[in-house]
Amino acid sequence: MTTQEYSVGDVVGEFTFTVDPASIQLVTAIVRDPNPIHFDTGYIEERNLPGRVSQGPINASHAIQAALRIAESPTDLHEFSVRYEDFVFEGEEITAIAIVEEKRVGAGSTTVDLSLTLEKPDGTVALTGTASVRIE
Amino acid sequence: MSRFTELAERRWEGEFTLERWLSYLWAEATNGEDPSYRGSTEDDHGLAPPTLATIVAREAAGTTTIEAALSEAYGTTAEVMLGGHRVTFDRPLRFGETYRATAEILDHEERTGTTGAFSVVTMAYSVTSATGEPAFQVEWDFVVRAA
Repeated sequence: MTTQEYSVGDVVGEFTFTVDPASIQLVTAIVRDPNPIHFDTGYIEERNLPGRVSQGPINASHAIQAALRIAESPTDLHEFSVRYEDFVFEGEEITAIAIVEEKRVGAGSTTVDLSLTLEKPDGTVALTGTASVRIE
Repeated sequence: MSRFTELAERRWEGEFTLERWLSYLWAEATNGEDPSYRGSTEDDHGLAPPTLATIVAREAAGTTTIEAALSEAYGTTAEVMLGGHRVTFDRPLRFGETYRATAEILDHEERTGTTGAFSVVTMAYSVTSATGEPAFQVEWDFVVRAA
């Protein structure tokens, strides 16, 4: 698509994924995450949680991938901001969505500002955010 | 005076080399789609997944145990949850690069919600290349409350 073909409200990235417990284990190890909601099944049962909780950066990464569907390269991502609104649990089906909110044409480049969400099948929003991506 | 006033007087700094294996593992853990994240044997300065910048900043500044420090500062048995991230790039994140970071508590405030009192603490990281060129800025929001 060219710049002219993007309009405010266009969904430029949307995909559904299932939260893999192996991802949670891997990130727990990488960041030495001390929070037991990510690995301690006994603690998770005590808290009456339905499973291990996916780390925020895992969730953010999927939202950013939805944003990058509009980009030629990850190097086009200028900035992003995310807010973790609700827990995401292992095994859950999550849909990542990126929508055009604004298109800014500058000298020699065009930047698209996107809204980002992660949604559960029941409509619960687990993440909200924004991203700015250069497209030309 | 906030529970975090004393901690807010601290500064953290250091450096971290983002190695290819970490970019690879992060891409695997987050289903990173771009093949460049995993590099190749000939590629020692490839692109890394952008969200890995949050972890590089944390590692470079030596704040991998910041949750424990926040919990201790809270004064009672506390749980520390991640509330959000903001990242601005001056240049793409690449493995094979050494990054230098400084960090500080940018803001801390007490709030009361439907589930009771909690604190919101924002850590700000300024990250440069090893030679001092701006690389990216990161903010982490933490929510701290009694467990």
